[in-house]
Amino acid sequence: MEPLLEVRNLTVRFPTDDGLLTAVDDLSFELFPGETLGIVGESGSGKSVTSMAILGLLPKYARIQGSIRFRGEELVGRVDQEMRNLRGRHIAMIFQDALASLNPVHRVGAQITEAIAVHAPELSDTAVRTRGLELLNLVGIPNPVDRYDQYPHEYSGGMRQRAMIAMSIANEPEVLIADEPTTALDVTIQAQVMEVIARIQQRTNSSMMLITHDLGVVAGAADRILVMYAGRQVETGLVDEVFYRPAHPYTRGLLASLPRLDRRREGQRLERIAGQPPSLLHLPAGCAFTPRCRYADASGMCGNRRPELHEVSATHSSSCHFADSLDSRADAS
Amino acid sequence: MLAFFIRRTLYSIPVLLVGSFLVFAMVSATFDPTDDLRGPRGGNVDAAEIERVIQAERERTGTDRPLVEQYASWIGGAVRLDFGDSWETRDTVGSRLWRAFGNTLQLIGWGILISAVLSVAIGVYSAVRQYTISDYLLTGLSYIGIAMPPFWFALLASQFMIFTLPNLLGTDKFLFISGLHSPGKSGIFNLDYLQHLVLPVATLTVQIIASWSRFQRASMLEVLSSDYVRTARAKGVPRRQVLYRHALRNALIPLVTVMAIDIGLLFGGLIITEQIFSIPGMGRLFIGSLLDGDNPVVAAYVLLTAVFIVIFNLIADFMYSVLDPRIRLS
Repeated sequence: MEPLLEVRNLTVRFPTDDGLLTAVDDLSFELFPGETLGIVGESGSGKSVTSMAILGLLPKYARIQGSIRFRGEELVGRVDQEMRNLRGRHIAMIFQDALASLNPVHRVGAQITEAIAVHAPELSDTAVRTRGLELLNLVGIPNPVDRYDQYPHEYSGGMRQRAMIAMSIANEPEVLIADEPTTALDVTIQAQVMEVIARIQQRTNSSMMLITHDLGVVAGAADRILVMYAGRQVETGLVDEVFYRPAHPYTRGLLASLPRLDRRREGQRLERIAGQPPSLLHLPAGCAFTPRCRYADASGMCGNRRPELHEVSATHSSSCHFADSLDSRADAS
Repeated sequence: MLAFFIRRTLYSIPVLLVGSFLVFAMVSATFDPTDDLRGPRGGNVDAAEIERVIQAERERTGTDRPLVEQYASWIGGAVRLDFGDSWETRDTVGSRLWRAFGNTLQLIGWGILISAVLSVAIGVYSAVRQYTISDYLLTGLSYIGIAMPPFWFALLASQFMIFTLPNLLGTDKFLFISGLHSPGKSGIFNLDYLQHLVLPVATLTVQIIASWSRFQRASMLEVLSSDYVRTARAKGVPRRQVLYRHALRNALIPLVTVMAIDIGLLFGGLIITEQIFSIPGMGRLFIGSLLDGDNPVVAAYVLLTAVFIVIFNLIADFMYSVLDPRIRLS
């Protein structure tokens, strides 16, 4: 199957006063039609920069290398005008923090329908409005007619996120990028919003990049997972593979730090990954995770040689030098 | 929302009452109208006669009564826009004030119109072109504008436009530096008026444009880096529409409030400009009356400027809530 979106060797750097900051480092992945790819990593791991690069919304001073292909066509280096026709129509984005991401001085309905009107100027105002009401209804906002003319601050947090979703699916895009869509929400509202996203995705048969630091969200919604650390991908595979047979020490650390009801013991503290993520200005020569890794090799292999992504199975790869022998190393240490 | 404004308006009444009493008490304390009747007066004037004249003068000006009583009758007239008679010219204070106000209003009106348009344009342009040469140039100019005293600018500009430039070009002077009209002319839709207006309005606007455009630039930059502008771009909204519909609309909100408050201050603050360009406006009337010891005019002037500041603060509140829907309900 042809991938819908194909990212090859994407590197994004930002010049700063302290030197060149590498936000995304040699990242490659594909997104296939209809699938949901979960992109997991902590703050600063390059998740959001990747999505901004795909939409062509990085600031001008960003230095972008590599290739991003959508339906086979190269996006890197396109002028803003060409990207504009793509944005919101073929590739759309659901942002986190809907309160900040919606314009406070425009009515919600107008903001949703703007996404339609800019791509279909020939539509009449009434047609656009009808479609806007349909969308509000689709994402489960009660009384769409009243809600259409309200301002974002009159919505609750969950409703704002729904409005955000309505805006992003207005043109039934082939690719939906959801950047931490549930971060700012209560757990019960999170579940509702994820349910709306799943329903919409099924309806429009779009592909989705689900960016999150919440493994629980990915486990429920994604088909495949890409784990990022310090701008690099450390592991990728089907959800079950990554969850049950994690082949990278960082993924193992993440999973071990999840609170689990079934293995809870009284007084037991949650596992944590010791240390801090590295500065993106001074990345280690070898594996970026080395300083925090409990499996790291004393021979200096981890610290000095940059690990390539290699296959653990046909669908599962890891960029750990010792991906195949992690279990035995764990026993030894 | 209406209730909010009625409440806000009612709040300003005690503010004005207290303010007006302070104004009246302080102005009364600055100058005694009988002062120049006292003092050495040559040998043969009878002391009792002097006392009688002083008493008559005090009765004429009403200063023989207790201060509170004077205040009560003054403020009672003031709310009906009757500020009594001038001590110097025997005109009513009101008629002198309104004539002067008309002239000042022309300066302020044109000044604000030009300042608002240019400030917004410069601010938006600088923000969009942040850190380019034109941005640095405009930033540099606005620092000069803020730092330059208006009277100095007025003198330099007059010198240049009235003497240097006409001499250089070998033409007659094409701008005037005295009053608003040449003798025998009037009206506001003619070249003569424009020729008189350019320099005073420029003097008035330079500092205002410099500070408002800086403000607009900062506000625009903040909005341009906001999440909702990114959302608009992610929707595929064209650049121009993002700029005007999403960014400028929001960036104007803080500027409009600053403008309203600054405009309120302007009504009392054109003293230097009017003095330099011999425009018989409020500022000039104030300085003249102060030197003459014409207390009723001074008191009315100070009260009026206070009223304008209160009114424009109200307008600032009102504009803010009109422009920002988040304020409307709370």
